[in-house]
Amino acid sequence: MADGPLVSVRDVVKSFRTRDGGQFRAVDGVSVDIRRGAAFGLVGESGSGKSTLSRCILRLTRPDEGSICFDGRDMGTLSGGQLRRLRSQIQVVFQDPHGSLNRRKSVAEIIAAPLAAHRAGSRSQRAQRVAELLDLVQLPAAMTGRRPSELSGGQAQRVAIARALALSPDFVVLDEAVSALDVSIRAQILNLLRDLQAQLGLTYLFISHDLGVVRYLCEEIGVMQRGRLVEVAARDELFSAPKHPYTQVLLDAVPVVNPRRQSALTTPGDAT
Amino acid sequence: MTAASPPAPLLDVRDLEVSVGKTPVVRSVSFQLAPGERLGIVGESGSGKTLTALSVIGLHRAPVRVSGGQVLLNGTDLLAMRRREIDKVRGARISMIYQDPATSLDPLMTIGAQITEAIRLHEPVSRAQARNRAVELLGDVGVPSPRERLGAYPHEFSGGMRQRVMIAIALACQPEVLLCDEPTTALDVTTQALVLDLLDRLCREHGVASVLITHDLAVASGFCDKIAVMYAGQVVEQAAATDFFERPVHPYSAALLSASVDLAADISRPLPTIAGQPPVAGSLPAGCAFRSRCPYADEACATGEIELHSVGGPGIGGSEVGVAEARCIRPLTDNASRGNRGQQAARLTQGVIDG
Repeated sequence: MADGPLVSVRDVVKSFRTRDGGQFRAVDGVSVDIRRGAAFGLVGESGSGKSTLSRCILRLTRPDEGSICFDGRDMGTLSGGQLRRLRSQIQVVFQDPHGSLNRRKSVAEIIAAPLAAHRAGSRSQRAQRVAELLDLVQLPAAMTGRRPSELSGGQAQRVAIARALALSPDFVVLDEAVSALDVSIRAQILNLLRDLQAQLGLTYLFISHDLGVVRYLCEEIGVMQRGRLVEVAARDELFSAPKHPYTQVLLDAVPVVNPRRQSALTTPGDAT
Repeated sequence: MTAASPPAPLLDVRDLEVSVGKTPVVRSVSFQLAPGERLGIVGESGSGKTLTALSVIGLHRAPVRVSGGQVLLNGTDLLAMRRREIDKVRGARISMIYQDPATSLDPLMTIGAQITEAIRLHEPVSRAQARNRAVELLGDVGVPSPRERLGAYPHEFSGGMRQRVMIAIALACQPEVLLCDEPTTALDVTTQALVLDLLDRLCREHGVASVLITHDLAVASGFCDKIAVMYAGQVVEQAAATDFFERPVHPYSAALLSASVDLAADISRPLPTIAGQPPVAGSLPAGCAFRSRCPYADEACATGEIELHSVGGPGIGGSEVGVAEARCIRPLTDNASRGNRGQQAARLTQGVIDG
């Protein structure tokens, strides 16, 4: 198993009914493999189907057609119990850190929630694990008693990441996970995500509308347009020689901070 | 086109002070705008940039209060005007567009009714004349088949088209100044590019001066002649855009620039970050508000009020540098610290991360 892709998406279709009774194909025949240990970036504009595809992969919704294999097992054929066990391997971090944390719970309770749900460890083992996780996301141990309302956006997103890592997953879906953060905080979280990936050997599906951020974090990138995956390429290829005209359109639309530095575009650095 | 020797400014904001209750949130903000000029106000959330714009146009509401300063539009102080007087100015001579066109348009009124309302509020024209102007305006902002679209409601438009409608309304009475608060933040990147192009063209054609408020330095870079950076309610740096993006002088500006990830960013190493958090309004430290996060700060930064003053200029360090204004006593003026971005970045990454 160890050699194949961690996630393998084959001919996935997901439609929604529209108000006038028609069908809208949010995901329209997508096939893609996500390599073990890779950070795969999924870009596209709103409505392109990237979040629907990720919801299919997370099994938050069932695809109408096609199959999604995780670690070689077709998720559509698993029993409830098998799926539940598999879910500990697949975690997600959403865009709005405050919206995705229960504001009545403490930081420690939030991070321990997946451990409790999967009945992992004793109380003291869980407390120990929470301490490890806080350390991993570089939050001080004194944070355990805080409520989400007492956290800044960056701190809240670190808590959401710690929770996602609680069960030592192989695969983390990051759905616009840095999009709501301020510039300086976003840089911190991007660095953290990169460190965690290297340290824990994580596989990422990183969904974003921000090509600069995707270029920083992901070595392989898929471009979605109107439900279809129009291009999949390695980072350097995609940014220096995009093949699909829509990719070129997207790249051209990204504003540049310092026009005089734009020449750097043609020589993208090596991330590793 | 950088403003070199400014004539009498069209908009002159002097020492603007805004507070929420008793907490000062905009502190002594001053800037000038010449006819047709474009100022970018950049900063992170909570820096006071939106409240600055709302106060300039008199749209702030309790508990936000303007506690000092002047907003001179062609020499007349808008802050000293009565409500009725400013209602005549707002929309006619100075107008504003917002981040979210979905919530700033009335969902129960047709687009046509909203544009004609804006026109007829300020100009004595007939309904038919106003309708014709509305068609023209919609066409001008790139809404296809404008006459047919007059009867449509905001929800029938996409986000980008709604923002075009907002721009049409804002420009309906040919204002001299347009305030744009994060006008493209809610839009997709390709739509953003189109809307920025549109704003660029319209401002140029109609000679409109504009203030662009954004957290996105790249957006400001493509649009503005000069840049003001806000931090903790103050303008901490103000400079011509070309100089600013090449050679920021305030350590916060430099940090913000190097933490921005665009397609030219160096991805071979960790991104430079700014340690810590911005201070909370109401409990600001003495001296420089940025000093606890600043790699260059020393004891001298901890005392007194730090004024906005000229930094750089021809002659300093033998380099030819445009004059910037910065609220900093340890500005990045020498070539050594400015030239070596890597070293600077390394210094900025030091310290405890507390994001």
